[in-house]
Amino acid sequence: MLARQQPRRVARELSLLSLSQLSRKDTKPETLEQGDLEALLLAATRTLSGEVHEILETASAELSRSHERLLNSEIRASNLNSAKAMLEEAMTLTETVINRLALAVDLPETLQLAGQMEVRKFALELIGTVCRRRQQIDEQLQEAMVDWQLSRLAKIDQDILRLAIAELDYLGVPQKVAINEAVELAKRYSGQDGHRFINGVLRRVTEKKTDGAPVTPGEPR
Amino acid sequence: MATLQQQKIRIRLKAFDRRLLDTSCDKIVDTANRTNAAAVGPIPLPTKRKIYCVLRSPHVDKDSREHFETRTHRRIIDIYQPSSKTIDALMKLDLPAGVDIEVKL
Repeated sequence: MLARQQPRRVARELSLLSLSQLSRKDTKPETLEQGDLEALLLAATRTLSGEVHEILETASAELSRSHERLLNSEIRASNLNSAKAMLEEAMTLTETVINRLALAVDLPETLQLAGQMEVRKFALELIGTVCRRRQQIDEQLQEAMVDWQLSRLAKIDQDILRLAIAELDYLGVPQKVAINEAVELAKRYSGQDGHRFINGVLRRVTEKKTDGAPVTPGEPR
Repeated sequence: MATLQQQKIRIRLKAFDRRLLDTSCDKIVDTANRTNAAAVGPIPLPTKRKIYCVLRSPHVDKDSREHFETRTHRRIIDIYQPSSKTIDALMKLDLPAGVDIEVKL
């Protein structure tokens, strides 16, 4: 049984999906209107629901094909070997169907939560803050990175970092919470060592703010 | 948003390397926007992790094993109101070999 997803976490995820739609070359993210932000969010949720639909469709198509194979193995097979082959095919098809369904099961809860008022509000707030303060946030991140350039990171990492800084500085979320959420997002969406990198960068940012007070070792990431 | 209900192309990209993936996403979105179609995306989907567990040794010592994994990064791009020009341009687009592209009309 999957744990129930927290609304705010879903909101963060949705805002990440929405942010990724703003391309690098978008000249002025500061000028985006509230309506545009909502459109971004809507597009993200729509794409996700479309994805679920498609997964289910392909799964059902595969399932019916596997049924056909099963039937064929009973009535059409001329000898034992061909029946065996058909049966095997049917089984592999069913297996892929099960895998697909597992994928599809994950998404509806996110979608359902996306409809809730508070989730939408928080997501919009996040996106809005990131867009309005893009410049300041980017500067802050750039300062915190040693020998790295923000623009050379993978896009999704950039977005995760921006979201976290927006939360930290402008929405008054506690440091530990913001960092942990960013790391969780990175685990889900980023590459192999993405979450470690993001944890490091955010740690640095917060360390700078507390005047370089050393962080106690062994703190949970 | 009435336009969103109209005809669309859904492009699904998969790759092991996300740098390649990002550049190809940018390319596709650029082409779509250049030809007056509305591109929505890229929207990232959770990274798929496939883990293989193998015995380290060729024989005995079953307790010692090793994990290998492949990470598939996925992105979705929707293109609304594609014109024939858009489709032509997309067909001609040169994309890296490491990116798997699935197009659905």
